[in-house]
Amino acid sequence: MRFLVRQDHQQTQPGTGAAPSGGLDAVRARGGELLSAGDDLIRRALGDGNSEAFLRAGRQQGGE
Amino acid sequence: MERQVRMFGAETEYAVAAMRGGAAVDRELVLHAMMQAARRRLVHLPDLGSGGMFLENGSRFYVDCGMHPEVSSPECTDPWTLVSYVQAGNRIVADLVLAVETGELIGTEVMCFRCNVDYSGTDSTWGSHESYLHCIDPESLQPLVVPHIVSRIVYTGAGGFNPRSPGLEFSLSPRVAHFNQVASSDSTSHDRAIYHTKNEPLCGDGFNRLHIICGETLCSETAMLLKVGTTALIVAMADNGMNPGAQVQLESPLEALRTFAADPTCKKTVRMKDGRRLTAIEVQRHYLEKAEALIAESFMPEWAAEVCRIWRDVLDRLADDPRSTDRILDWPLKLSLYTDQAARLGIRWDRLTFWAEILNRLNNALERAKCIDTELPLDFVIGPQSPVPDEANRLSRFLRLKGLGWEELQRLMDTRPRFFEIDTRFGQLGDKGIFQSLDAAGVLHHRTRQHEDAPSAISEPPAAGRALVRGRAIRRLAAERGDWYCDWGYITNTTDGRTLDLSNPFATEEIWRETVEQDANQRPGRMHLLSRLETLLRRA
Repeated sequence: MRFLVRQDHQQTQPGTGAAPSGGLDAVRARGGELLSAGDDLIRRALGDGNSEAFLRAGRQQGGE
Repeated sequence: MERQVRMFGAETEYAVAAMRGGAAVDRELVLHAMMQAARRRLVHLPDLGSGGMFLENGSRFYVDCGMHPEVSSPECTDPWTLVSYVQAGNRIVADLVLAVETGELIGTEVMCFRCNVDYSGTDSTWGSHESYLHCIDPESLQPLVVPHIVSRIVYTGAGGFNPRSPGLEFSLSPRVAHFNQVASSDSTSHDRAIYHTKNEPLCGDGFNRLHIICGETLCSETAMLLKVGTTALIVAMADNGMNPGAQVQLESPLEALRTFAADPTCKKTVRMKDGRRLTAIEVQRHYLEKAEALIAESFMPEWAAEVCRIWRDVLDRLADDPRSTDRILDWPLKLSLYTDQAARLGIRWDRLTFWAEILNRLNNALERAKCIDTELPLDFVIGPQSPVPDEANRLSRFLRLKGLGWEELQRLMDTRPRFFEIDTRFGQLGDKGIFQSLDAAGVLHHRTRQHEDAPSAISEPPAAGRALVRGRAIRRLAAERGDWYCDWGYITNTTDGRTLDLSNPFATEEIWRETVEQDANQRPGRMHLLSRLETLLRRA
């Protein structure tokens, strides 16, 4: 048993997967940018809610 | 040169929760509403037996056992396309959530998570199963791929917290806590294994299906691409007589999995059967070098070189400093965010494992004292009424000697639910999702394509294989008033018996049969009727 061969070449454009270049200071600055954005978004996502209540409400009885 | 084509797919399991007026809404009600919205909005044919449906893009949407919505991608032949269909599945489910919130359940907040583990005290887990078509004996495949599945978590781990830790312990791959066998045919109970021995091809013509169940749902496209791309290359090598895992046989795969999952430095070694000790990255480099050496072979797919390039790049970065991948991969991103959050909350991240061990000692003492049925607050367990005063006093003296106090552990336990909520919301679908918001803010570098192609993957099937035939047929037949049902290997009309044969995974055109064939794997006859009966009974 063999797999069929592909007749048409459909090379897709891979993504970058590449980190930005720059010196150490630039990397640190970008790291600060990520963490600052992350903190803002985490605050927004969680709001003033009660995490224990959130976990209780989402308590799952199933899953795979 | 003509190249072999590999075929694979992925399932994504979503956790669902809903709130209305501050109270939880019954999940069954939410799932029923989602299915109603799906039937109304999506071009589809119903599937057999589960009450779900196959969509015009060739994928399947259904509610799986365990009461969670799930999307199975169509069969794809390159990893970039698969990533597009996983993302399309996310968009489809997110759109259904919005439709339910503005339709069937107005006033209810419906939340859909790609969260892998439940932190509320249950043993529930959601995964992202992968399927790889191959032709060799399934039993011979196990030793070839297990070292890969174990070590690939350095880039396929979703990141999060060990759901079975009494404290807060970061894990590259939180689902690892739920796996306790090397090989098993079980996928949903307490015998989950690294290698799933069940071989259910879902097609005919002598093909087999490697079904990997220990993977995790990911947000990073690069991580998704590498997960399926590298595994498909290893299956391709094995399928053509190579033995890419021969020199990296793990002495204890389960122990290795747990060691790698608990090590964000990616520097810990595990013992091989030949006595050497290797890191996960070294095991991965072994597989990578095998793949690179065979790239020119016709049995390697045309996209092999590009996957190897990204594979090598990510391994180099992980070896240099795992944090250099925190804009590319899931777990390093979570690690950066969570350590930062810990610092903001005054939690010492470097002492999390220490405190987990202290909690383990207290729990062991409580178990010996038969206090195992209730959750006791820390201040009670270490206070004057402690049910385990000897252990509490012993640990108090130990902490004093180290210059530490219980207040640090109390602060950690107070913030523990917040970290669990953050991790649950990390992969939430929609604008509140932390990953999705970071992506929209432009601070991540995880994308695998330069352009957004999910919109076309939502309604168009892949360009090759039976998924294309299935998708086109679904679109045409859904417009008819016939009694059509769909499964992976066929589409059948239960009134007149006409059946579209999709048992060949590489089908390029519609092959219709007037009568139903009784094949062991593809049996729409009696099995179909039983499945239909099961559906009717469920609806009743």
